[in-house]
Amino acid sequence: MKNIRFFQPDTVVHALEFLHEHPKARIVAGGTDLLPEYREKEDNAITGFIDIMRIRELSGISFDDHAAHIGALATHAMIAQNGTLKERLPVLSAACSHVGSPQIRNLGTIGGNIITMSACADTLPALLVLEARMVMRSLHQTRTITVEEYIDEKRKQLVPPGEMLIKIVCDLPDEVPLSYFFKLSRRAAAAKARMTVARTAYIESGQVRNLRLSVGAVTSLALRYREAEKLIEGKAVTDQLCCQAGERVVHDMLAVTGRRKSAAYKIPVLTEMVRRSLEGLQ
Amino acid sequence: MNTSQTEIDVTCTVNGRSVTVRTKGGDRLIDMLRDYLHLTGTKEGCSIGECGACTVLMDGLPVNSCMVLAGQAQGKEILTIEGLKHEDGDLHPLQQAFIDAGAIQCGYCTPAMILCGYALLQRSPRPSVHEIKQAISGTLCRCTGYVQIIEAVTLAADRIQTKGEK
Amino acid sequence: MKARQFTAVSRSLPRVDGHAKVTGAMKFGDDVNLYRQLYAKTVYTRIPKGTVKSVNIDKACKVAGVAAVITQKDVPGKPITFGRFPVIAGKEVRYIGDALAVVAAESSEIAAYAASLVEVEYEEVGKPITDIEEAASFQAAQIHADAPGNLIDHASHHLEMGDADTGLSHADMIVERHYRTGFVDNGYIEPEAVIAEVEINTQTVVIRGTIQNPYNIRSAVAGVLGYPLNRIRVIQTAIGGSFGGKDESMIALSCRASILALKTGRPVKMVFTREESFICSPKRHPFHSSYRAGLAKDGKITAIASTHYVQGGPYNKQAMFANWRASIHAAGPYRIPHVDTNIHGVYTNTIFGGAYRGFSSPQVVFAVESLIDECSELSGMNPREFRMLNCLQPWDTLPTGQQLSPERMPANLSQLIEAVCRKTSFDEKWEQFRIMKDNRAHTVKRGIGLSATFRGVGLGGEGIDTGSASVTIDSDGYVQVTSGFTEMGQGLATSLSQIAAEEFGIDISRITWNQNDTSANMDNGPTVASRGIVSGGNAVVQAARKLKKRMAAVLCGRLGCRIEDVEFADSMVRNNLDPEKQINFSDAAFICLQEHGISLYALGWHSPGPQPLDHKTGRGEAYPSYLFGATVAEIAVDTGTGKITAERITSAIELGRAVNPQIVRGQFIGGAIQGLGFAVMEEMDCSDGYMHTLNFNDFMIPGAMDIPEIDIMLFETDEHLGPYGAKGIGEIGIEMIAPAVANAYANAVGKRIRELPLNLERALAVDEGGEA
Ligand SMILES: Cc1cc2nc3c(=O)[nH]c(=O)nc-3n(C[C@H](O)[C@H](O)[C@H](O)COP(=O)(O)OP(=O)(O)OC[C@H]3O[C@@H](n4cnc5c(N)ncnc54)[C@H](O)[C@@H]3O)c2cc1C
Ligand code: FES
Ligand code: FES
Repeated sequence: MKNIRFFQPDTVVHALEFLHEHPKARIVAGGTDLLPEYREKEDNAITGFIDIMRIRELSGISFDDHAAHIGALATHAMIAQNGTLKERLPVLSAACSHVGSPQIRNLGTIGGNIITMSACADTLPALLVLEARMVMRSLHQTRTITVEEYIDEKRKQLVPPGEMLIKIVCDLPDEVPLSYFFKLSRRAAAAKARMTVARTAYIESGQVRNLRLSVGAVTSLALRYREAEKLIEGKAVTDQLCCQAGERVVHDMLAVTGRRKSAAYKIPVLTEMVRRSLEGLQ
Repeated sequence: MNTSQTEIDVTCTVNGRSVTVRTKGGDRLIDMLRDYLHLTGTKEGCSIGECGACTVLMDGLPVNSCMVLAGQAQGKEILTIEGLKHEDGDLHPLQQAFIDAGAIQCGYCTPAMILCGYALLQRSPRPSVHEIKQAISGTLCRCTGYVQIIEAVTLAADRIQTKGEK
Repeated sequence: MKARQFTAVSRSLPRVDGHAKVTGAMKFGDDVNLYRQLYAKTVYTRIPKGTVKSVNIDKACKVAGVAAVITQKDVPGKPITFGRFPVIAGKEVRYIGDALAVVAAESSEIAAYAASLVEVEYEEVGKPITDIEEAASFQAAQIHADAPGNLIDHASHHLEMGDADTGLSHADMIVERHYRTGFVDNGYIEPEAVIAEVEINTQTVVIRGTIQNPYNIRSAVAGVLGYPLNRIRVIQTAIGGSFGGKDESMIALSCRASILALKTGRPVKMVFTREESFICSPKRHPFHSSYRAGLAKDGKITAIASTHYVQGGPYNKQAMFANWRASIHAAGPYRIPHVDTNIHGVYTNTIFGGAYRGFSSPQVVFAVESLIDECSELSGMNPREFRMLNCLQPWDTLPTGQQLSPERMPANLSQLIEAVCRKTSFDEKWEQFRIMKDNRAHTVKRGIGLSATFRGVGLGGEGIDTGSASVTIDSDGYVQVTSGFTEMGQGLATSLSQIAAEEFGIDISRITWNQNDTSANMDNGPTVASRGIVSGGNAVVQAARKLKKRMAAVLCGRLGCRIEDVEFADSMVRNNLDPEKQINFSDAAFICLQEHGISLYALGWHSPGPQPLDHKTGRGEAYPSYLFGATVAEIAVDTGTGKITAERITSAIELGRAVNPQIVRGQFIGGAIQGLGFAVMEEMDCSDGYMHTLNFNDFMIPGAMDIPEIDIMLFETDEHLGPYGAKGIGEIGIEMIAPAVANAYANAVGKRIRELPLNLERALAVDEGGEA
């Protein structure tokens, strides 16, 4: 029978020490990914919970001249409702407002969303186009990596154990890029994504600059689509270019997943969704 | 709580009263409410955060009590359906409106729906239909098709605003 | 006759159970706890089909806190509940929800842990049969040794009128189409819960729980324990939705909990997880329907021949009834000279079919109303015109030979069709969207679709339709009403209380409704087929009138009038001819009971007797009456993603009388939204015998953001059947939506989807010219 330990540290160091001593204990923030997982786990797979919700260092959203610092514990609701983020990082704000239900958004944290890194995690495409950075700390070191690098570590199963996410840092450019976020799902709300597209770009004298495009839920981990970005970078957007970019994304997506049964649906829809994400730049 | 334990005393406010409950490390908030405090108005429908029947307000915000560990409620303020009535037994206008608008069928989602409506009215006293739909979008109802629930929230908002009901 | 003035019915009085439900006080199944109760968990098979070589419970028994572990050997009476359902499976497992052992322990965690220690050795024997075609094919292995062809017992029905071959040969065009639907869960939010105990004094097994049909539970438990019926007592708790579903699963739970309660001498509680509920509860039966329709040049239908195969799962106790109902409704509400309908149920190694709101109509109405739309297209008529030309009229004959006398068809179907079409400007929009669909500039297309239906009221030929109610007036003039029918959210408690209040002329606040207890009420069959209001309502009226008659006989002397002139109104019993002479209802009750010793308890028993129907030939009157309805759905289709959004639903229904208009509206809307879920999103995957749709994350049902505008037009008529003309409204709302949406989709994009749900993939694939 399970005898689950519960630990409520108030500093990161305490949490990390406990994690070190109890490698089968799990950090819990909002619990919305972990509790369903815990429910399915065989006996003894999880031996304890480390509730990090009271750790001051991890909470709060703050800004300096160039960047937003979003604590790992910021909930989706907090992010979606934050006026500054809505204005300066609309793509992230939109992503968070699409996570789960109101109740889930009140619990679920951005940190949990990133660390779980499920295929249909809604914030990942947004964080990818924002080139967001993660501050990670273990007992011995603190490191900063981009979300994209972290996804890569995850794919290669190279994520070091015993680390905690402290915060997310997103640059705040002087001019807010044109932003697009779309989540397709089977129900109008409270449904996991069938596909998500995030895009930011600038238009300078009719030409697209600094286009970033990312798609979630079609590959096991969200991806940036740099080849498609290059296709359009520096050009004036045309219908034809939008379609080509869509085809390029599909091509690159299939290179990762191979052609599965679901491709019959994904190919035309992804092409179309990418096209739609770009047509507004005309 | 700087030491870990397999049994934890959770002290929090439930429906305005301070309580201390000895729970197990793996217990969820819903277990604490239903099994220890016998507040069975909070319902379990899916156990994975999908149905919303277990919704309670934690520090004023609707959350799924099946997604919160009991220990995490330490120091929090919890409101369940049992705490909504007035001391003298009068119903809250939302409760009355649910009855009057025919917003109840089996009643299993009702506590959660009312609490979602309550949290909404706290921050938006005159919500639009769209806002109401969003506010209850995390709570499934299989019986009513939602229309009369939405009407009930509108009715309650109206009574609170125009008639000053509480 | 002067128009009737109602005081309690025909009004939207607040629900009698409202207060308890808004305060969280209402006790549902899992909210009931008994002193020293144990918690039980079921051990399920891990493979969907195979032989069980051994079940070893030793380790489980040794876990501290385990009180008992039972296997099939421990079933004292019959090992089968009914419809072949094993209480606990023995040598053979036939589907992924078969139980192999049940553990009772001091806590649910201990029970679950011990359950995980039960060791089972299996041998897989062949692949599970999971598909209708496969099950019905000649080569298929038999799932039950005594069920050749895997045909479900008594579930094949044939109905014929005229000669379909002749009808088809006279047609100018023959339209042949196939339609499919899949498994869909009832989706009630409350999972099943039961608690069984042995009442020592009487050696009665008492079962409390979320039980839709208590008498089914009682007979099943009696059989399994080898007890007479009077020593099983079923008391209903509040039920968090059922829609037909809390039956087979509740039977299994009740039987298992009862065996354990007898074995341990302690109360035993069992509560399903959502996953268990999805695996073990009945689903809407999947239908594969093949239709041939004959069309004449003038747009008249000359014949409809159809064959339906229905997927039943490994055990089934409903296909025999559901299929019969389907056979009556398969040709739709149309005047068709030649009809031939064949329907069969097949066993499969999958989750099983049972009752879900609408029974078989949602499937059949989807098929036939899609077909009718396709026929209208081929006739070059708009769907309204085509239906108007062909729909049933008073005095028409149904395929059973039953004539639709005007009292069976109080509102003309054509009137309802016209009403919804006028309200929605159907013709204009239909034409406009049809042209717009070819406009490439818009990726989001709009569509409008029509459907019509008729629905036999009550059980009809499915079984004997009875209803019971008992009414007690206490000496203070307050009244208790109870019935063998169940309140499960549909509002029956309120409607029946209103009827009692109406009869006695008292305020509804004086009435208390008692949830059913099988030891207090007569077995009046199950609460199904929207029949609670008709049969239960008639029984309440009857009981109340008996009591009024007794009271009048006592009081007429004091009031100085004849018995016939005693009137019950305004909480008074009075002399109708001299209203000054009156006694208040409370005093009247006291006088009758305490001074005259008159019984103020009465049982009302409603039974129209057997339907005049010959089951051998299928000829006669299938149902005593019919409901009619028409619906228009307006949708938007995103052709880039396959996403369908319902924008507006407009329905017209004839329902006799609305005892409580607000409840009627709620029943209708609730049904319609379930119908919308069936149309566009609800599906369950058990395609390899394993269950892949285990919770509400995968089984999506509509949420608040999915609902369209809903406009209902209720046509009240003076029906002969139910109390004050009421007919059941519980089911008709659900069945018209899917075909209306599918027809709207065809209008929007010019192609048809003949399989439900119209999910993203299907709605898109069709547009790509893939699946047709
Ligand atoms: C009903 C429901 C609907 C959902 N819908 C969506 C949806 O639409 N879109 C979506 O993207 N997600 C969805 N989710 C998933 C989930 O809500 C989100 O991923 C959420 O952001 C997780 O955050 P959390 O704080 O709840 O994580 P937790 O469950 O607390 O933690 C998740 C994981 O991250 C680890 N962790 C958490 N914080 C840290 C940290 N600071 N450092 C190191 N490790 C950490 C935990 O150990 C755990 O392994 C849904 C979940 C549910 C139950
Ligand atoms: S029980 Fe918590 S959301 Fe369903
Ligand atoms: S009233 Fe039954 S689930 Fe909402």
